[in-house]
Amino acid sequence: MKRYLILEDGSSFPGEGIGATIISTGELVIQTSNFGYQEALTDPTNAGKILVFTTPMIGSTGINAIDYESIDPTVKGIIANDVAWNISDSETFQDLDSFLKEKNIPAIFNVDTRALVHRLMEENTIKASIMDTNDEHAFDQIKALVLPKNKSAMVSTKNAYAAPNVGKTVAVLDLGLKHSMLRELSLRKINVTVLPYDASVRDIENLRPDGIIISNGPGKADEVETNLAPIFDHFYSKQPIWGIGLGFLALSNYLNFELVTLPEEFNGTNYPVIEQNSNQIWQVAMNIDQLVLPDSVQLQMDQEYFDLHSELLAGFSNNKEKVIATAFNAEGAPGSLDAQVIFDDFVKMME
Amino acid sequence: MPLENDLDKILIIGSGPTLVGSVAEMDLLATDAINALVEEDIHVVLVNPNPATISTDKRPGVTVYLEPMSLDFLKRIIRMEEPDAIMTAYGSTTALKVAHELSQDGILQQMGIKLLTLNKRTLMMDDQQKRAAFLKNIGIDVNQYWQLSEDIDENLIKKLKENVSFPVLVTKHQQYLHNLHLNFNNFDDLITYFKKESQSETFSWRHYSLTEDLSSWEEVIVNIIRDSAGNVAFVNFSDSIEPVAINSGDSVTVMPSLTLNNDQVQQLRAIAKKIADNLKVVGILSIHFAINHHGTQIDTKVLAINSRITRSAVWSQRAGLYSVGYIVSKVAIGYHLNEITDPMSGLNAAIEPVQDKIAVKMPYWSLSESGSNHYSLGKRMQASGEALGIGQNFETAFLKGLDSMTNTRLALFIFKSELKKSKEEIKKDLIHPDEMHMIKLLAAIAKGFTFQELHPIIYLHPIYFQKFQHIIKIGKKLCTEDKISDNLLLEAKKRGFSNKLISYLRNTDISNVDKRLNKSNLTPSYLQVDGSAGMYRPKVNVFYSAYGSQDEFTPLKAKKKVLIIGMLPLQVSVTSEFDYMISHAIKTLHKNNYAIILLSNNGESVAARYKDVDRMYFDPITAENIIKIARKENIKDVLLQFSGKKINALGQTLIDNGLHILGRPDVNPKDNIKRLLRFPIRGLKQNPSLTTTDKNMAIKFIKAHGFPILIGGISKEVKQKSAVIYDMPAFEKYLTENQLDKISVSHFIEGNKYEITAISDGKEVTIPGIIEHLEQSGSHASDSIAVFRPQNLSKRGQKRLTECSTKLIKKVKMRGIFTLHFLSVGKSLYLLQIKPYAGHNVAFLSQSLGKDITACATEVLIGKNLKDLDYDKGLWPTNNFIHVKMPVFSYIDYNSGNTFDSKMKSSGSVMGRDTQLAKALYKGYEASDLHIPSYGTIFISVRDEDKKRVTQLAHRFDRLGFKIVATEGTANMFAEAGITTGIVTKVHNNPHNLLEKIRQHKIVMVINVTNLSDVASEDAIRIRDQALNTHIPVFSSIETAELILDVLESLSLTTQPI
Repeated sequence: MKRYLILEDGSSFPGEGIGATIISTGELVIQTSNFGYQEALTDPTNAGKILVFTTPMIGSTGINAIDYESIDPTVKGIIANDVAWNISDSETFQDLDSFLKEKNIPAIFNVDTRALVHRLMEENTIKASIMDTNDEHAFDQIKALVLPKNKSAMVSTKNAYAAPNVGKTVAVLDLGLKHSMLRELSLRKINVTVLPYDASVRDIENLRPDGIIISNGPGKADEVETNLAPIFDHFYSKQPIWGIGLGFLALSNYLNFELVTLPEEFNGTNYPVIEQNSNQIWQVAMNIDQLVLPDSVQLQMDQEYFDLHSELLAGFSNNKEKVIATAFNAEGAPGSLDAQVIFDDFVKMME
Repeated sequence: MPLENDLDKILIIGSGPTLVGSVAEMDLLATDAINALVEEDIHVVLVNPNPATISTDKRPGVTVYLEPMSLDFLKRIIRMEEPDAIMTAYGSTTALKVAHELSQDGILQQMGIKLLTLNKRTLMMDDQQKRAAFLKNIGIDVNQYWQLSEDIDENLIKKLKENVSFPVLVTKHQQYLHNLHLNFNNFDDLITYFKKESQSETFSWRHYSLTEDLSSWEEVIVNIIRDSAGNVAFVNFSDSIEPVAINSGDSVTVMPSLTLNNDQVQQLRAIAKKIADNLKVVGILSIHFAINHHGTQIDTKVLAINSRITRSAVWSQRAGLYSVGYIVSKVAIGYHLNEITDPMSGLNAAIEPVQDKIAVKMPYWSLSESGSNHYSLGKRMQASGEALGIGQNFETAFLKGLDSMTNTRLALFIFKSELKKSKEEIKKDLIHPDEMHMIKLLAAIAKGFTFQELHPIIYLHPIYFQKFQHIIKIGKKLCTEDKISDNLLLEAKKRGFSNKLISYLRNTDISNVDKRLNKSNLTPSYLQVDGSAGMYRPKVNVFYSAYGSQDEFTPLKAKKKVLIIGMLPLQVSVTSEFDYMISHAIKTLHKNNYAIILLSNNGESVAARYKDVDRMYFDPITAENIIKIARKENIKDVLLQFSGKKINALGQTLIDNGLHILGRPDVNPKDNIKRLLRFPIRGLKQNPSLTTTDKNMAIKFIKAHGFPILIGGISKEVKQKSAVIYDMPAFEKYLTENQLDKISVSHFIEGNKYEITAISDGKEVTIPGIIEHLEQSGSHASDSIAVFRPQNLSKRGQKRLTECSTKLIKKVKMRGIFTLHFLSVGKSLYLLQIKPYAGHNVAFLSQSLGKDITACATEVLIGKNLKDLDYDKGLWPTNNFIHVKMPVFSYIDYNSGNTFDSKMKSSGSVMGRDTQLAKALYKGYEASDLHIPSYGTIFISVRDEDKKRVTQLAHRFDRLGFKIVATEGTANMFAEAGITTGIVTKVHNNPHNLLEKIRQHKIVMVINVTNLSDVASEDAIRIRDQALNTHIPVFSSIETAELILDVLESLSLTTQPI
């Protein structure tokens, strides 16, 4: 079925529709990784967005049971250059098309994704819709749409839940967390309780946690500031805190580090960072639009991770202040496993 | 950390000649490496005897040795140059081999020389047992391996039963022969096989090893660069469409891998990193994995670990725009990845490339275009070259690859005849894949084979099945629909269907397809090749075509633009010589303020070095693409003269489409040349020849002129391999085997063959040099040894050749470079050929003269006159050195209907250089890996005329302590002269005897100068093939043998009783 991706300036990109046949609107965002479409499209950090895959084809490895980053994806749509159909008769896979239908996500393929990349290089945010026609009416609909604020509220769990284990206790503030992150904690026997994004100091204190993780998620640092400030005030330098992605931004903001908006949003897996003391490079996955200006950091860090694209600060840790912050997803998914040691660092910090 | 400061001089071991199956052209990456080192003020010493290389060009900061890469020569160079380190990653397997020898020799320790990109551990990775032990030690899965040994007794059966899991692959190791591989699916078959084998006299358990059979597994290649801080960058994940059973060099490979999900890629990454860390590599590793999918999981086994630059690294350089050649050498001298900026992408070298396009590597099998030579694909690589198809989708990349490799008409012919076969027959064809197996697979899918039917035969991944189905679906629509709709046309173009393919499918002329496209306003867009999925603009301008995408093209702004057509995939007779010339032409055109636009999709080509051209189009070399690019760029001038015969043949089509071929008037020079060959100028003799469709006419011709006869011809529009025949049965045989539509016969005359390279501005003619051919055992010029300066040519003879060439070329009335072949017999001079384009030996001649012949020719092509360029009429002066160009042979294992066809083909060349011919020749043999032994047994077979000369020759060998064997007649002759000679039976009487002796290195040199009859010529070819294939020197002229004797005598002290 012929469908269209219509941008807010009226330009339209035709393609073939698959997945859900609904009309959908969101902010365009690019994912450049060649691998891991299942992880990317279920990543809550992409909530409310129309995800453009630049990899030449998605769907060729189906959808499997273990690579969900959230059970119900919250992306508004998928745009791809090419799509694979029934990739196998094996029962361990679901094919992409039926998965998207089931989860009510519309997608268009055979779209000139490279042209979209060029557009996004010029403009920072583009609203777009997936539609059946490319007439005036469609265009008006996009213009009328206001992008949702505070997306963390949208994707965060409504109720606290436990992922019990026998080790240290960690409170995870869910701003849009990924399952792989929980899996890594579980591998380290961490006794996790996941709390909603607006959990109070009291909620956390009741758990007597050995550490706190502020997860990654969609949205902006200032949207979560009000909720997080009292938590930082109360726990900072007392309990180990690890901020990831949005959590990294919130923590940096709290510490008065200057956030620099990147010329182009990072959404991919080929973002190397270098740790200044050891000269170790990690290939990491990032899904972020801001990093920290190194000069604005007054605190003496034990570890500093510099992004090699922008030379900005993409992570740091301070043992005395018991704080770790990473702009990247240490668990990869998609992306390399290089940064997994951060989980160990965090565990060590709690001991 | 900054660079290690104790490195002032680095020796790079080059890759030597191109060999089918073992060495890819590394010239491109070696050139990048040299740049990377020279800009650090490191002096580079390069050893590479291959004259047709750009890396061996003279330049400041680089010392070049065009010497053999054998241990002896390298040790001498090392002592002379005293380098601080040796870099091996750019020399393919040849460099690894000699590096191994050097480290065992002790010279490196003695002189304190470091090995870069290589260490003791990585050196062991070529040894299967050591590799397996290493991997097991670090907890990585390898395929089970059992080496059998003598002490295995009756218990063997029990042991095998307990330990071996099936299917199993048995490797029979055969000395001096390629190993034999056999698959067994169950225990009983295996035991039956061994019972049968043990009957053989030479049976030994030690000759057999068993490995877990991974034939049906998928092959994935991973490239990883590691720096001295232990940081890594993964530059490539590619998978093969064919399973492990077919060598990855002969497989169609896809980048990025489409069959792996993120978890699986990370799994491979982790293993690769672990291997690199444990090997402590500072450089590059290419790791081949065998992969078995089950459910969402994969099993992986490591198949191979190469610590050098390989083909797959070239793909990342081409399609991923990651400067592997540059970065590996920076890493090797101590830079960390984050301290290096990639000169092509402008990005930090730690940033791994990502793709928004697909690159498909398509292998090319030499001489397969005739349709009558068939390869059987398996463990051993047989492809001689490759091209990369780059497209926005798999279908396009695949079809572009195919378009670069096969002749569309032939492919379609095979497709249709396969489709007519029964399903059972198709199945059989698929089980025994040959060079057309992709076409046959497409036919099978068109026939309606389901995935479930195909998978157990060819182990195809479902994604590729689906993609091939799509190609067939579009193709069927193109065939069947009455009228071709805009949508269908767009779909076909978007998925890579060439105009030619569409025209065949629609059964219409190609010009109609062009018109139809114009009507729908369908023109290609050109997208820039980058490694960042369009995020960052690279520093080089490389484009590939796509349909239905936003055009990224802006015409190149320049006053003068020229379109150069690059080199076809490397193949027998199209070797890197052409690449060398194109590269030099580009330099000269740049000096003349031309902007260069190059069309090529040969990944290995050094002329297609992105930084050296102003813009490149990475697409198949077809008339369609040339014309489209020329239109788009608004270019008129096209340069073809250095691109070889096949590309020159496109000339007329291009002229018809309004293009101008540099140097060529719009009339076809062919006509002038034909006339000159038929009616030669005064002083030249004409060699009688005849081209006819009538066999009786040919017979009449033969009767009139007598044997030997050079015979050739055309079958189904394809030129067949010519042969020299000596009797009527041979004539009949040739005709039956070749099914000629047109027969060409000429009298075969023996004499001295001279090749003249000449340059003309349309008025004056200058002649860079005359090359003499030695050892011409047949008709193929590139199979003979070229000598410069000529040794059998008097001053007068030179003058005569110069004058004749000048006169002839003036009559062709064309600018540019020419190649002429003459034959001198006694006082007579015959004109054999005039080629209005550059021949194979320009690179060799340039290196010998130390002058850039291509530059001169290029200047003339763009309109300059020889006089203004200060080139004199007549022959160029020479220096004191004598240069020898040796062909290097590869064994091409195809099934040909032609018994006159030798399977040893020259796939590359090396040169020998010295003040004496004999020494230069000796070096040439050494460089071409035909080691001249100083003792052993020589087989001699000669014709009656040469009796006397050969007896003297035999005497000299005898005195040096060589043993001599010969066939009966020759042996008797030697015996009469008092030389002890062994007798061997003729090959056709007992093929095992002589050939087996050669195979087992019981014979170390062959001298075979015979007057060939039908049987004898077959024998001669088989002897020669066997000898070359076992790296034993063969002499087919007494003169060369005498020269080599001169060297041997001067090397040895005569041992003789008084």
